[in-house]
Amino acid sequence: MAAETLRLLGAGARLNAIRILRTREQAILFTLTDFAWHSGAMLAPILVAIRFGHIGGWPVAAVVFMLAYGAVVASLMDAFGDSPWFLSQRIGRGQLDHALIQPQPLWRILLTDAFTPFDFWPVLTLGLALLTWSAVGLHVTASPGWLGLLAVNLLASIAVQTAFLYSWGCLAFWAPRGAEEISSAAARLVTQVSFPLDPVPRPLRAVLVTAVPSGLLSWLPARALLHLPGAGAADVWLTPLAAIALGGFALVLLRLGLRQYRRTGSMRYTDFGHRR
Amino acid sequence: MHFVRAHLATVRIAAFGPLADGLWAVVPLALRFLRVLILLAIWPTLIPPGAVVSGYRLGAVLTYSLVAEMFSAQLNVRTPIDAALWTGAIATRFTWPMPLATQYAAEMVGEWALPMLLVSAPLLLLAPFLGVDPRPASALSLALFAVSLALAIAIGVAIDMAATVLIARIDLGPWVLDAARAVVLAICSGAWIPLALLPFHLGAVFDWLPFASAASAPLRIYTGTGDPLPLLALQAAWAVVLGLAARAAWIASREKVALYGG
Repeated sequence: MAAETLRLLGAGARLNAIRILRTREQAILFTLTDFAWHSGAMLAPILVAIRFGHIGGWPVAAVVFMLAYGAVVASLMDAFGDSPWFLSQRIGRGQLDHALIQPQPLWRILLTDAFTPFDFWPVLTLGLALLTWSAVGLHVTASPGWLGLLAVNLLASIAVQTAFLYSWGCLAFWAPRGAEEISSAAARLVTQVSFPLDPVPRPLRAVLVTAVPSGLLSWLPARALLHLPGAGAADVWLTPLAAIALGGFALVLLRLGLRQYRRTGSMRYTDFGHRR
Repeated sequence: MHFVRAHLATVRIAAFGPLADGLWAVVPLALRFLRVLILLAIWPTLIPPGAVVSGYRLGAVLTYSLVAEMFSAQLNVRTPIDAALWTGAIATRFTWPMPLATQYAAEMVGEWALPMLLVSAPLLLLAPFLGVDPRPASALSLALFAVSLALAIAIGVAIDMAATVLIARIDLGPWVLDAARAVVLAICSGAWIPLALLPFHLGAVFDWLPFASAASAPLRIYTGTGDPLPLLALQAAWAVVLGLAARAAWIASREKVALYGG
């Protein structure tokens, strides 16, 4: 099972390299654009932090750490392409059938069929460089245990975002036309909030770590890893626990959705389909 | 008369279009509430009450952020033309008896209706409960804001057409330019953060760019943090220059439009 997954990931990487080599100018342009997108998203909060010397109780280096953490999460997810995360588009556009007829389990197709590891290394490099720079600036002792917790939290943040996108994306099983773009709307909902959330009122903060868990994608794990004021000793495990809970919820919705899909199928190409 | 009716019909169709599939269009709008609530919570930690930072009191910054969110679509003008160019939907639009730029501008205006109703109006009503005084600096500021906003939209449409010309001439995907425009919006336009509050005196440079005329200028007039006459004069100059340049560039480029969609 693992060997077949690795083989497909390798095929994706090979195709990615071939595309870059054959369309050099466009590939460079796309890579630069993606870099500008992610670095630009980081720049506004960093500029505010530099201007005032802090945001809430967060010094500039801590703000940079938080944003770099978010950039690493985003770039690792981007390496697997858009298609695994935007489930509602696949359902609404009738493309889920393309996956279901292949001689592979659905999870493996979603995980491997858009794997493009060479498109996003500049953002990943930037994120890792800024993580290192800010950790050094904050005198963080990067012991193996701390690095392990960092890795666990990064994976948990990816799992949280995946679970959130799938929970919303599953709605397209019941409303393939109306909810076709709900995954991209959900992605915007969780990824465009990039300030430390400590000054935010408690009820809103509760929303931002549960129903719309953008706080779990960088703010809460960064605060816990840096032991900033307000972080409890156990906070470093909150994001992994949330990942398990939200992942379970998304899995239940996905199974219910697939059961519904088995009954209805895709309307797209029927005579009355919305894409005709 | 027919010309006006055609545009009004386009506005009406675009206004109700998002509701054709039910209330799903409401979900993305939730993001705007979250974004403004976070900004409104962060400013008081940076600017203490009574302090003046680069000409801004806390109250002015909060009003600036709230009004920026209420008019976010007008301060970051995006017509549907770039996506239509890429998907091929623009092909049939060439046959419509209306100029391409104005038919897409009309469609854009229609698309403003739902967010205005579901986000801008509630934000205005909720402002006192959020600790924000939504009133303009004076009655004159409100009147000049309306003029400035109209100029900002005109500049925004010209910038959007210029981006469309680039897509057509360099064969770019619209999302490629979107990335650059998102960066510009976040930093250079003042649509999120007042330019005067940027470090290294960046704001003094950005103030002269068309992006500031498309977003920062009306907000500064509304909050009374900028001298209206120079701001309006600069906006008018950018509107004329960019409008003429974008029109000339489009006329020279429309034969190069290639469609891939289907």
